[in-house]
Amino acid sequence: MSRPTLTASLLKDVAASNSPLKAKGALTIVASPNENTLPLDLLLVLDVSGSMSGQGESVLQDSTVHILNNLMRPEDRIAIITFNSGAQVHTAWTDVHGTVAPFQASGGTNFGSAINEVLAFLGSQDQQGNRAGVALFLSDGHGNKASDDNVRSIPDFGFTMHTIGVTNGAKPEHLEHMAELAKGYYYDAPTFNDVKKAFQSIFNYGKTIVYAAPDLEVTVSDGVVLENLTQTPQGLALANSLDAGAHSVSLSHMVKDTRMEISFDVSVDTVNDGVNSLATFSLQGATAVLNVRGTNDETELYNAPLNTDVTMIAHSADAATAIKRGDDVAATRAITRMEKLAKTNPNAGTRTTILQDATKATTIGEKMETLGKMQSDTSGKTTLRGDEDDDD
Amino acid sequence: MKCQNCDKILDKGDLGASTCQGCGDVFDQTQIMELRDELNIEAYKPPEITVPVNKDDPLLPPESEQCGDCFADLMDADLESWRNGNECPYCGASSPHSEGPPSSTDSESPDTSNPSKQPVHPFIVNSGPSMGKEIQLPIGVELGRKFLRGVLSDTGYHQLLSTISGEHLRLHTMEDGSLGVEDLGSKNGTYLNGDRIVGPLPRSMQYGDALSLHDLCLTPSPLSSPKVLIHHQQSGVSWNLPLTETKQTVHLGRWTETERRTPWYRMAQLHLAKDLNQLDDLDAISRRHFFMDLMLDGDGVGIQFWHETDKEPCDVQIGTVTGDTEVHQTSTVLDAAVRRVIPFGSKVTVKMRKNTFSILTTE
Repeated sequence: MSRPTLTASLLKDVAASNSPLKAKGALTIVASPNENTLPLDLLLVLDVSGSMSGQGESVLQDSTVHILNNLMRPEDRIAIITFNSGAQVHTAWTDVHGTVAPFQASGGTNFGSAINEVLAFLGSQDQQGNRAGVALFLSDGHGNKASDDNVRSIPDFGFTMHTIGVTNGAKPEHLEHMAELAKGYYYDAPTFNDVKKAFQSIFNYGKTIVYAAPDLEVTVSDGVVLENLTQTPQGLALANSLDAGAHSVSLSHMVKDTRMEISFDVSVDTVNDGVNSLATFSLQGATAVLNVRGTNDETELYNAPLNTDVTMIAHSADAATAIKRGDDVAATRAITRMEKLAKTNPNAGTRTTILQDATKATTIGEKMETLGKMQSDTSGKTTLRGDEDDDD
Repeated sequence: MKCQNCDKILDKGDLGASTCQGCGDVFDQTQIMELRDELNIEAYKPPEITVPVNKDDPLLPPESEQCGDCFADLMDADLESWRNGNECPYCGASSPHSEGPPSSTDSESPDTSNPSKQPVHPFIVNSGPSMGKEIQLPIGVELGRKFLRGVLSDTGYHQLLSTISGEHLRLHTMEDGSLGVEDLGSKNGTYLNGDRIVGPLPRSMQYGDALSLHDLCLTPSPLSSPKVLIHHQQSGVSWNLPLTETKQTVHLGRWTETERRTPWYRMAQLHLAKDLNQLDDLDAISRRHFFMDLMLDGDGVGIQFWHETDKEPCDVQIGTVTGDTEVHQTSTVLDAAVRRVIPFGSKVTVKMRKNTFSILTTE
């Protein structure tokens, strides 16, 4: 099996010895270019409450048939759960030859029932190894909230869950929060006509997955704490705090030809002279060690260069997190700092431009979607995942 | 100085980590510099690098000549043999130093003999060691590196000619009888007075125009005419200008009206490229600065200097030259209102902001 490349770095690789340290760090993960994409298991979780009747029903029918007839590869599978006041399996796993019965929309909107049904459905299935699971949660309203813990446990089944907010009835912040808990992204569909495009975008993403919701093993050394682990450039919160010991952190799917970046804060009780190993990261057989070298030489300390990649990833995490919580001032501050960095790190320039576009978006839904579609190529250059139409 | 995020008073510990040790906020370069200043810590200077160049005894390329067939640079014993008229030791091509006539089967050798059927036009070479030499270029045929190697055989042209394409340009006789030039898609371009020639239609040229094939500058000349030699002393760049009874204006600033480098300035930059101080002196001349109007006038050259309205005039000295002896007669300023006719054999020296031009008139 080919292994990914892991790189763990601090903002500066030297620190004052015999002193405590607070610093920013970053882990980057690049899959081997030889890695093959995985077959896709696409689980649609669709809102069929009363507000979806009429145009909503027909859009769901058209979009689902479009996936079956035009997008699915022979090795892919699809299943559908529908929910209103309750939730039920509408279509069990089927391949490209399957059919989808019409949707009947009525009743209320209960997110909690839907997520419970998702967990029950995934738990009742035999786990099929080496497949990429993508759940797609669509709603045009905001119903009874699902338990955060339940949503957070979806990646345990090898699935990430993405959410689509349809029409003004949906609450993007709420749906984006659910997506983040399940290591997925939010998609915006301001009208029913945008649903098909969002389905296609998620499907295109699903068929480029090389590692399905992999677990990152982190061993933190004594006297060290890692905090605010955030996946950039999307600003996906991964873990709040990892203290000394071994931890397992669920990541979102790893997509081909991209670089996954994880920003974190490091606190060290005391930096000793010489090399200090602060943490070890392992994923898919590859390992990276986060080191810092303690020194008493002040000149060396002050003149040690800043790692501009770590700086960019740290500012990027700050900006995305601020945009998500609606703090425009903090977002602008982080983006301005990243803009200055563009002089020494050209990748910061492309990221600045996209984040500025995200802050200028007129609706919260657009902002969330832009963040979710941001990705970094293997060299660190930021792009927006395309909505290319394969068949039309 | 306080942290912009948490108001902690920043100290050396924060500077060493380039991060606020209170809240973890990362500093940008401006904050780092300000904090260094406040804490009286000297700004970081990269270590000085000693340039490994011996200015007193620079390494010079060995003397060489290039074989016109295989382009091998012949040096040392090969060069001596080649100059004694022996064949190229690499491809067997006959040496141009041999006494005998060139082989009739040597189709690759440059044919510069110009069969009498081929119309030609004289050009003055205005760059390289044969500056001032008049060469004949055929009209209506493809001209390129190979032909020019034949007429400019001095080794000092190797570098200049290497930037010229195999099929670089074609000369034309225009409908009105004037001379025209067409670029044949050359890699490094053909420039007429600094403007690149593009497209299939030939551009008309006047006597005295600067035709530049990348760094080789040629000036179309009437068959026989008096000339002035203009010489920029600091760079050693010189160029001849054939004189006619029509007024020609020579611009001695750095840029053309279309905001390109003037041909003489391009050449001077190349000559001075290794001496940054002299390059600075060269750039003391304004982009559009001073001009010379020149024309034949009886037994001498009518000459008049003028400058752009907001620029200072130059110091112009007029003297005579007899053999190697130069006698200054006057030191004056010629501006737009004053025009002199100076006899052939005179030398005019123009001093302008650390630069000196001499203009020598010859009949």
